[in-house]
Amino acid sequence: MARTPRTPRPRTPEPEQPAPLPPGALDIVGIAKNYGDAPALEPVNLRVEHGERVALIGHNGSGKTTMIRIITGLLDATEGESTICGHAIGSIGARAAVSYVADQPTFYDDLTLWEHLEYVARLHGNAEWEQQAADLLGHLGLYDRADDMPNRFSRGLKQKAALALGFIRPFEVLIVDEPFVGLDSAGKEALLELLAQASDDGATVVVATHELSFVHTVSRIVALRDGRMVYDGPSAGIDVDRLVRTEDPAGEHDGERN
Amino acid sequence: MTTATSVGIDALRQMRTDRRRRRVADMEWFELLYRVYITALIGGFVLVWLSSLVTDAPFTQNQFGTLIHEGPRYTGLLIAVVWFLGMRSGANGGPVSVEEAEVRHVLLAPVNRAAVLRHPAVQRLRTMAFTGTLAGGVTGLVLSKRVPRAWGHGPNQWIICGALAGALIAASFVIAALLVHSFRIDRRVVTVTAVAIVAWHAASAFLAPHPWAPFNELGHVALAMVHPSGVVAVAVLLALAAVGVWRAGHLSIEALARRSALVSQLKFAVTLQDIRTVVLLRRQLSQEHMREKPWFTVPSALRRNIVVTRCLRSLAHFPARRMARMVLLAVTSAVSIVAVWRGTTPALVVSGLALFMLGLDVIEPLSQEVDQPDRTDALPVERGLLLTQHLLVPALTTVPFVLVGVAVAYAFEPHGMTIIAGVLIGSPAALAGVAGAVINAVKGAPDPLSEANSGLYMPPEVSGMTTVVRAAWPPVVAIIGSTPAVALVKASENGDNIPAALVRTALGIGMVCFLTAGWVRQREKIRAAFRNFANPQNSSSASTPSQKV
Repeated sequence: MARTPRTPRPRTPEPEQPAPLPPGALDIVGIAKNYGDAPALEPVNLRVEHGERVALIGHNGSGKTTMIRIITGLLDATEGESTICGHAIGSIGARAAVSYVADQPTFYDDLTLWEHLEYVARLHGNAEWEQQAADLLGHLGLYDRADDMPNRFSRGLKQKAALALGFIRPFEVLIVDEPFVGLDSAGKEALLELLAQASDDGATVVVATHELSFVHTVSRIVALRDGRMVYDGPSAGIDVDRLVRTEDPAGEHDGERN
Repeated sequence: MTTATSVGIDALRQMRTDRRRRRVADMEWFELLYRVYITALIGGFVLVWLSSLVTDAPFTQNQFGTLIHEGPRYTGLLIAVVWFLGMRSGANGGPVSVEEAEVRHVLLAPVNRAAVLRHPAVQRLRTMAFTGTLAGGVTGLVLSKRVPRAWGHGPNQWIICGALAGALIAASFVIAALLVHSFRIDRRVVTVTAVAIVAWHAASAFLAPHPWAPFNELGHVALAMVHPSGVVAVAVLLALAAVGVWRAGHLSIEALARRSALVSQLKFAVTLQDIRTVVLLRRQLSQEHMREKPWFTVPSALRRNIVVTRCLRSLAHFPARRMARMVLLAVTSAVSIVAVWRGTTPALVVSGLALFMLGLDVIEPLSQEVDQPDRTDALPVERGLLLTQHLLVPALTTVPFVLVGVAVAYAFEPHGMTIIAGVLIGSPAALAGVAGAVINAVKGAPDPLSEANSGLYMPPEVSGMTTVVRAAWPPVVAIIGSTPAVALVKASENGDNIPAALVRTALGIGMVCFLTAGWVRQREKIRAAFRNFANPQNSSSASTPSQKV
């Protein structure tokens, strides 16, 4: 049987390669952290755009601090890569771009708060720091304590001092871990204003917190549970308490067992 | 960016200078001088005491020939062990540690990390080299006492070469750690390489035809021999040190952050002579965690006594590296006792200290109980009795280590008498090591705020001496445990019955161990009685937790 000649198939046009995205404020590709056999953070992918306000939530031990510490370069990821404003984590560019306020404030034993501010500001090349420092301390209610040793402060004052150090330097991305812990209501208010000001100035703000007064102001929530990212989406209509406990943040499947 | 970086470096330099100036200005010079005076006094006393121990006969020509011929290989093995430890330290995040605030504020700033970290790396190298210089110089002094001047090696030559070798050996630890850490070499690769290096040098030291091994070249320096290859080895080591310091900027920030908090606690614990806290912090620093899965389950026959069960369960969770370290300490002790037998009496100090450290590991279950006084006080059992019951398993745990020691001794001295002498020396020595560790654990850390701390009202010299005696007593007990090795030497020299002489001294050591157990059992009652005697007014109100029970 003679084979009928096949009509050549029309070539399907090659799908157009999407143009590579410009670097976001934060690009996380599959970062994970294991301690021996115990996973502290399972592979996470996340992109945060410039100027976004993100709340990172999760119960104790969910992996929030691990993730933040990897992003800021304090922990080495077991796998994955991430960049800050296009700079590899830990590079000088990334360190210049990101300001990190840790959950446990740390200070030198032998420097006053004012000296700390000068040191951190000048380490980041901020020559015009004095007026900025005075304004910050005034805003946080620490102006009268400028010449005291922050290492001897109470928990709340230490937190405020750490925030002042986080804001005294220039940054494009601000990452803050549990900043509301230990703050009085005036302190919380002052912090909310500073975070809003940072956003207005175009900075990307990522805050790990359960503080509803902040969570309600963000456009996006990222939730972690047991080292896994369980939610990444808009904050509108989300029950935060429910989010960290179940995988059904919108409550659409009430009554079903997870 | 470049401008910001250079500005940051300028700020860093200026702040370091300012802080140094402030520290110098705030320094209590009188107190500093007093510390130097006390250190010199105690150091001098120890040095004179150690030197007085060396009353051994001078080397014969034959012995001296053996020392010169074999010494470099043994020194090479020692350096290999130091490299092993340094490489492991590097894999665990050592050797540099900086302040916690420095990690947070400087290392996360856009400042060249190499510029920040080279300074502490050089400081660490300098401190270790200085310590090694002192230790090597003392070793050279001790050695010079046994070498007749007529053979062309005066005391100065031995001291200088010992100091130089000591500096190089101690610096090796930091160099190895810096290289491994800064090149981020995988921990498994490090362990395999380090074990291979030690095995190579062990083969060179003990197995004919004694293959060449690199660190043997440095060993020539220690024995006052100038070889071109020795000079090259020193040059290579210095080059490696330069590479390590140059790469300081590649050290892991994660490791530095972890160590920064622990090292400050460690320094404080050392200041307080709190050995238990030092042990715990050292374990955290080297990330030595208990195994979750036990090596063995406790047989039901042994579960009748809950304390025995608890102790065995603790041992079953020991990590492999701790057990390897314990074996290494047993080997060190055995080699030291062989050295005593061959005429170097001060080696018994090394043996005693090794067994003291072994004891600190073996008594882990007891230490855990002591660490939790609230828990033990809540039990309906007399505290002294409870702690005494915790002594049985650690005492029996020494048996396999004694056997390891006997095997090592037999490798050096392959005679039937070595086995008998090994058991009769090793058993009491190991038990005394445990006894020293038990005293250290049960007496606890000094409490400077305690009302009972009468040192507060003593003159500084008396108070200082009391503190030193209190801290030194546990290791001294462990060192006393190794004295049967001296009895062996004396019995051999005098032609006495060796087993009988050893049994006599072993009984004496056994008595010390027995008294230690009795002290643990009755300690609180003794303290209460002493307090009541010193202050009769409190006799009605003062009572120990045991008495309450």
